[in-house]
Amino acid sequence: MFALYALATVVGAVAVLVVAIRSRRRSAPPPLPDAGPVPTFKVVALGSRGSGKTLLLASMYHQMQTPSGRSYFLTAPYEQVVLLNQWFTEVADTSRAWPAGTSVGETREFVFTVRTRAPSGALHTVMNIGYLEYAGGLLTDAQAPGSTGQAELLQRIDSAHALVGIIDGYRVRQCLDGQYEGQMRLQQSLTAMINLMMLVSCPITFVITKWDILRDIDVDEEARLRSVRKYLMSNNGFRDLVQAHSPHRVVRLIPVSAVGPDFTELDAEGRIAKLPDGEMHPTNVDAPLSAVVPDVFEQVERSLDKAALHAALDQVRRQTRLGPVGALAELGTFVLNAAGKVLGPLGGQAAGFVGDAALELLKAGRDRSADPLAHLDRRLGEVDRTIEEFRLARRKVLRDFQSRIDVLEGRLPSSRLSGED
Amino acid sequence: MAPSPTGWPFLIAAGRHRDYSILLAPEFLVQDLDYGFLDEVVKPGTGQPQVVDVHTRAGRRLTVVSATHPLTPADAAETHDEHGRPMRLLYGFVCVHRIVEPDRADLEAAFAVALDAYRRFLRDEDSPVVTAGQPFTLRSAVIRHPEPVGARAADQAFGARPQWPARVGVPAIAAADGAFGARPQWPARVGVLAIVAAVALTVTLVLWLRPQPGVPQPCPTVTVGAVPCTPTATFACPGGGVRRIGC
Repeated sequence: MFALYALATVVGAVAVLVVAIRSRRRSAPPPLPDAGPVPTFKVVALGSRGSGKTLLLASMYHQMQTPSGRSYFLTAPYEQVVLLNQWFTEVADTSRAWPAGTSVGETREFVFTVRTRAPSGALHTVMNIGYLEYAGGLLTDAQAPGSTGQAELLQRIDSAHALVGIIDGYRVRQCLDGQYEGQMRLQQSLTAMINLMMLVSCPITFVITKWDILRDIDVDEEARLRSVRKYLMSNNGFRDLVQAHSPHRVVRLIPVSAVGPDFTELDAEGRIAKLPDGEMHPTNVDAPLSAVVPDVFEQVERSLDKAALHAALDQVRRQTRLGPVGALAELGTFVLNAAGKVLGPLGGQAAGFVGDAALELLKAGRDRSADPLAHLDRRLGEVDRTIEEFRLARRKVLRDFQSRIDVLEGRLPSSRLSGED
Repeated sequence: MAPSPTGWPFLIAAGRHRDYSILLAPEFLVQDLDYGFLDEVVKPGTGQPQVVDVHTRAGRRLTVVSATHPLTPADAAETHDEHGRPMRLLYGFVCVHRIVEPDRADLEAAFAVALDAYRRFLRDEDSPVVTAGQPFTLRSAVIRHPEPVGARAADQAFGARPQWPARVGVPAIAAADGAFGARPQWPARVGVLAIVAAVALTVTLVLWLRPQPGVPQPCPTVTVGAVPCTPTATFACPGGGVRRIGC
């Protein structure tokens, strides 16, 4: 008897709770867009020891911590900002040596928050980017018994939204100069990366670091990149990887320099030395992070059923039943469900973000969105100006990501890899 | 009288082209293949020794005292790697007891052994071996019965006051947890307490909401058809009992 009372009480409580939640959902206004957590895209940079992972990270943050013509900028937890600035300062100081290499114990994940300032002056958080920093030896060397770092790195690679493969420009330089040491080290690095990258299903961006020391290959940057690309594609493993992945996902080859062309030279021993009066002008360091979201969504589009996607986009245009916010959320939910494997867990309020990203980044969304979006924006304005402002700002950021990559591809067509080479 | 406490030296370092690896580890850990944790808990410092309490993968509870030494011309012919970066030695000693305050002499003893191991490594970087470190008598003050504490920076060691941070706190659980940062773990006691509280709350609610005994009221009457079907719903009768609708 007592058990029956208990059961009845629990059922009643659940019923009351359900009714309360349902009525609250009906009456409550949409949540403030900036109140909750935002989606997080996880990025892992694969690169051997000395390939320039840490310098790229420091320079990338230094350049992206202010808008500099973009609609967005990055922030990070303050202790990480201190560390990144410390590394950058150490690099920039021509009277000091390069920073020491990263040890296994210094492995850490940096969390960059993409923020934007709306015309009203309000600051909005758009998304997070997790970026793993680790010792290159974890990728290439056998680990000590009892060490867990390598296993955890592999786990991170497996769950990453995008991989950045760091190709050491210094090794490329050595290879092009016919040095055996360079060929051996580049092969070792490529083998380690390719082995892991063959198994992933996320976009891949190869980054050639230390681009500045390759400047004398050709005056024209595109011609220079074409030469390096041709050399890399002559490597069987690299070519096979590109051929295997490029029909299904984006594979890029981006030349970057964390310090720029006016900061270093090769000394008599063939080492990279800082110029006494060197000035830092980093190049393309923002491109790898800018490519993450557009590349993920290009892959999403490839994986989606076209008819279903068009139907979902039409639903957003009509947005008769759910209203504009609900229609976008429904589009986001549709994309999340249909391309869950590509997107993986994003966390935060993913549906709204994905809905906006689908409209801005999917070709089908862009083709259909000009007029309907304006109409949608007017309707959103009726719902809540704060939401409207946030969504417009977020879409501007997504457009800027895409624009950055479009500009790069326009300037350096060889930066998009395909198996046709 | 208890025997003097002992420490075992270790070294983690990178070479001219080879990345950081463990080059010297306590003999008893090498024998049991249980020294990999050193890679993950020993981090480069800014001059002050670091003291970290850890659990190894095999369940050993140890204290690791470490320091960082930038390579100098007196140590090796080359002090920078092939990328022009300064090379440094992460060295120190391991103790089965808690270290209250590391003694400079103990770190010097560990450094001497570590430097020998490093010079051997530099002679052939491509074939690194892990040297088994032998125990030496410690001068550092120890607590023989471990207590569950986190790491402590030896901020008063060597008579020098640290500039910043004054104390470095690395929880033992985080240190043992590996390279990718601490994962907060709730103590089991909290979970047990939560369950007990939930059960107690449920029982209280049930007893509070239970109707007073009275005259049993009739259950609702439902006509059941003759078509074969499966039970679909139950109702609790106000006076007790359950009526099932269906068949």
